Amino acid sequence: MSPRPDASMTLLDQVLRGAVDPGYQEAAARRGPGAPRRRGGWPAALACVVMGLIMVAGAQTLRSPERSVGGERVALAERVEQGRGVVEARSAAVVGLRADIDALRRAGLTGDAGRAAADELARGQARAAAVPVSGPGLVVSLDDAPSAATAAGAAPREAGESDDGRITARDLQYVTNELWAAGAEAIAVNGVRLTSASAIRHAGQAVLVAYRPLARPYTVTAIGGPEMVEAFDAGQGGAYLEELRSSFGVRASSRADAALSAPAGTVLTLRYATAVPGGPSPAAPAPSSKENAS
Amino acid sequence: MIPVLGLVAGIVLGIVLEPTVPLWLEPYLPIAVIAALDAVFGGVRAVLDGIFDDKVFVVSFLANTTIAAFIVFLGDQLGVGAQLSTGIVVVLGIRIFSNVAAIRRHLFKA
Repeated sequence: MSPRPDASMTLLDQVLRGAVDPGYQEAAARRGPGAPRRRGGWPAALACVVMGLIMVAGAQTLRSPERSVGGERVALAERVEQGRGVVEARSAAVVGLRADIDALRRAGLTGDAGRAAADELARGQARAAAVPVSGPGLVVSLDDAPSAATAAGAAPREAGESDDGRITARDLQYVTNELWAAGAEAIAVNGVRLTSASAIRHAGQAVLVAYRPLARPYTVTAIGGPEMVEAFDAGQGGAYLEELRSSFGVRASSRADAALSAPAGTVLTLRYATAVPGGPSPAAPAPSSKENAS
Repeated sequence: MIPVLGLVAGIVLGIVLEPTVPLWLEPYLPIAVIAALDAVFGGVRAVLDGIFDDKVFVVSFLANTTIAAFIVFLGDQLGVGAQLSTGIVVVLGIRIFSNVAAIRRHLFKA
């Protein structure tokens, strides 16, 4: 007999039409028409239990990779937060201890030589930004233009599209340089005190002040007299802020404030010490020491 | 009825016990799941057609799963594991579709 015209389609035909296992048909034919069906016995139930187990095990195993990855991230974020809390607690303890050391040192520096040394030390500390400063001054606020803004405090190291409206490290450098030039005595950016060794850089999209990444908005606190405020506003600093506002839509503003404070910056480490000339006096048993800012 | 209860019991057991699949079995798990689905729908269609036979049901499920796993294993050894696995998934998927269509015809027309 000649082959059927669609003989080449038998494979597809079988797959599409023969979905029901032919075993069922053969078993039914063997039993003969009209015989009662052999339904659900224990073998079938057992097979169904196994099937249910397989399906659930498959669902759990094949789905879990996403869940474990998410869990790891959350665990890591928690550890970072914990570490950050420990660092902050210890930093606060360091500040307290430094104040204690200062008090003890002042108590130990008595007598003429001691007082002279104490004065020199106080001047040196002020210049080295080793003590907190408070007083009147100027607050300059810098924030990205609203069109370029991401959520405040978002991870600063994430790469985004470069926008003109973003505050860059150069803006902060310029503003702080103008503040120094106007006569500021102490400057802090987002609570980080600027010392003679602090740099304002950028790493990718993040702005780093003294190696600490800061997130927008940026608050530059400058402590100085009213002449500093005038000199800044009327001089290059004010002009720069105005240009940022008009050309890029950056939110830049400055306002004078009567009570500002800047935290201490450096850690003073004792490098070398010399004895007070003339031998130790009974009132000043501790030798005076030269301290350097680290 | 009892096989349905068995299926439900299997699912509940799986959720409660949370079995961990050994690592060497994991490549065959997707195939096993699809073969199990195919057997379930084939069985339901046979019931609705009136020709269900539990021996055929069990044997077909075991044979399908084993043969599918063996084909995947063979494919892995030969280096065509992904393609063979795709082929098996396609065939079983077509069968599942046909069975579900027949079940639908039974439920909504007959």
